[in-house]
Amino acid sequence: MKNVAVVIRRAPDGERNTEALRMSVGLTLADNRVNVVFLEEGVRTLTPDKSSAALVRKHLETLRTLGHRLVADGQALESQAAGTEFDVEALNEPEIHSLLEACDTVISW
Amino acid sequence: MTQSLGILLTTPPDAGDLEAVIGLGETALAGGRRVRIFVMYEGVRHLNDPRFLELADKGAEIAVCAQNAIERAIEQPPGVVWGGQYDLATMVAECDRFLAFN
Repeated sequence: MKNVAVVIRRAPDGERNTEALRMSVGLTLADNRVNVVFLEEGVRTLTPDKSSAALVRKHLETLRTLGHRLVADGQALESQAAGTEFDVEALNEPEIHSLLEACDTVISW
Repeated sequence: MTQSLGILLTTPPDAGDLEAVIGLGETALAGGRRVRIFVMYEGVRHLNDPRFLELADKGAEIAVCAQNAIERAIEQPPGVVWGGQYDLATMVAECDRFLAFN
């Protein structure tokens, strides 16, 4: 099994971040353990506008239901997406570094 | 056992990543490695570039997120797999080395 991190670090821009989430769900179709990591302005994906909210919800709920991990930088989450409705694990910087270091593959969006 | 290189390409042609993908792909093929490439999102626009498609002629396996291509009215060229996210998932799971251009 591959331990894979999908890092979303840019602000939502068109379909970019929802495509990263769709890809994350797709990765579960093979023998991959998926960790979605929201960093920097990427945490704003967790407070989507009306046009993307349903897609973001569907992808995050699917990943959560399948037992994959959703994490965010705690500081960025607090400053940029404090009101998020989504259940993501807030980690500090050293914890995120450890998570990424332990992954076989990191896909940064 | 043959080593394999997987490449994910999601950026559009104006991002300038194609030259790196071609260079890496050709180098890996010349070294006897299996090369698997998956294009999705704006990366499907590279299907209109003959330089990209030449990689398939040289032995690279190219798979496409057909959903993204159809959304952009891009037709299936010969020599590429008209696939989906399952192709990327298996590529990530199976390749020895994996690079992403996002």
